[in-house]
Amino acid sequence: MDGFRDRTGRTAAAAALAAALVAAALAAVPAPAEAQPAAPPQDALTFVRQALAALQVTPPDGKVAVERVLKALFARDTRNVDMPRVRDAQQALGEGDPVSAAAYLMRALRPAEVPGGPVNTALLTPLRRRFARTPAAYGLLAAAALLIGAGCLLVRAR
Amino acid sequence: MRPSTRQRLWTAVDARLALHNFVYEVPPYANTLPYVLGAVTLTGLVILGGTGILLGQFYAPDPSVANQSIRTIITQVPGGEVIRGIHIWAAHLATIALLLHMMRVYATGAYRFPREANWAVGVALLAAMLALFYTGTVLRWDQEGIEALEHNIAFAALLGVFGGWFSPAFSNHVPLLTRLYMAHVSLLPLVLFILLVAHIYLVRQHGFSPHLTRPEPADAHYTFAHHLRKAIGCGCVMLGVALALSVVAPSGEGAAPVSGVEVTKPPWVFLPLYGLENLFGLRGFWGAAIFFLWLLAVPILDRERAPGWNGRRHALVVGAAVLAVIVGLGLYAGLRQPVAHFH
Repeated sequence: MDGFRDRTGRTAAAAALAAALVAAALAAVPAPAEAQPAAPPQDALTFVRQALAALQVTPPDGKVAVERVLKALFARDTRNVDMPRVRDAQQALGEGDPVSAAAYLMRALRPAEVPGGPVNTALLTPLRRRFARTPAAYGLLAAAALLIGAGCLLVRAR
Repeated sequence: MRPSTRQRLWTAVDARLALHNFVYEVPPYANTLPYVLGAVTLTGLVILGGTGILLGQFYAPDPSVANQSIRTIITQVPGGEVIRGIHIWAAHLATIALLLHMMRVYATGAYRFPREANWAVGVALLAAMLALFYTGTVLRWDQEGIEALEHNIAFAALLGVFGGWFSPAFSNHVPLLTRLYMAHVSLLPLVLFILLVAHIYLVRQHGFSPHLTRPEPADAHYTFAHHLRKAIGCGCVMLGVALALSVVAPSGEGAAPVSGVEVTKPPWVFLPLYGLENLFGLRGFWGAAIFFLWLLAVPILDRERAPGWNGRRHALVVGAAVLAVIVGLGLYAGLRQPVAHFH
């Protein structure tokens, strides 16, 4: 029986190795050109949004934000961006104030509410939620406790 | 004596559904927590399926409106925030249960003859579960989501001719987000379901794997119904914990994403892979392929036949080493600032 299993194991291992080699050879074939990611946009609007994204993570990534703000300031296409606000953001970043910098960058964007505004600025602010100390929330917590209690009873039942 | 109503009801239902097939005997240790973890994962999947169907009624899988639709689910759909919270937390809890289940199976050598095929099905289930986790991360459509999507595109290029399906060029007129949504709600659940049926069928055929050290008492009679009851109990606990977490630590939603920048890190389950990417660039993805090949090869590589823990020494040393590398990579990636890999 062990001999049979050893032979089977060797055959399976050889088959797996052969399959892996074929897969590796096929994977080495370059992907079609259109599968490569497209070149990212180089306009100030995109750079400002990227800087904003860098400032909205925890902790804020000041290095990336500064880099993107500088790119925005040197961008040729500055449509829909209030460039003086971007310079204010650059100054705030220089002073180590990411909160003010993010606020300036947000104000630099021409919002969708303005005719022709390309960005829905309401979506550029993270929707942060906290424990709502409401009767409904406490009711849900009580339901959770009941579920946990019922589950424990089922687990302990013989 | 006349049979009770309950007995008559059971007889009537059993005659039609052959439920007695599930009342087979299981060993007492099958009802202990380490041996219930697989069923716990299954109950987690049931929770995920139910909450996912509800969320699917309100989620718009289009890049222009996806972020807004999640905000609508949170702020305007009655109970939407809680259902989404349960979905997210249950995904974390079910993944933890699955990983612990696999570790138990590995540690006790339950993959050995005649259960090698079922181990392979389990490995495929892990891959499907991780794919669901990944696509779910993209569906959030915040900065983390779009960066995960950009990794998907880079991965497509890395896969060469295999990468076609993963690339945006595969279907130019349908956004990749929409296709990943399709994968998340239909393709992957279908694959998961087929694999689960095969997994449960093989467990039923081979029975529970023998305990490494504990002899089976002759007088203790437990059936699969006991096992199922324990699993449902654990599932209730999981649902309760997910509900409590969704209330106490609601998920919220990140800002609408922008491409071309990498400032976030992936969820905890992908941190080891992210660590490999930090070290080796995109080629680090092959680390995951090597890991899965190793998992598949475990029953072939493990040649020890000695009974008890003595026969597990080498496998446990190797398993501990692999776990240490994975945890180390995860810590390395988790404690560092996000790294830009292709921008």
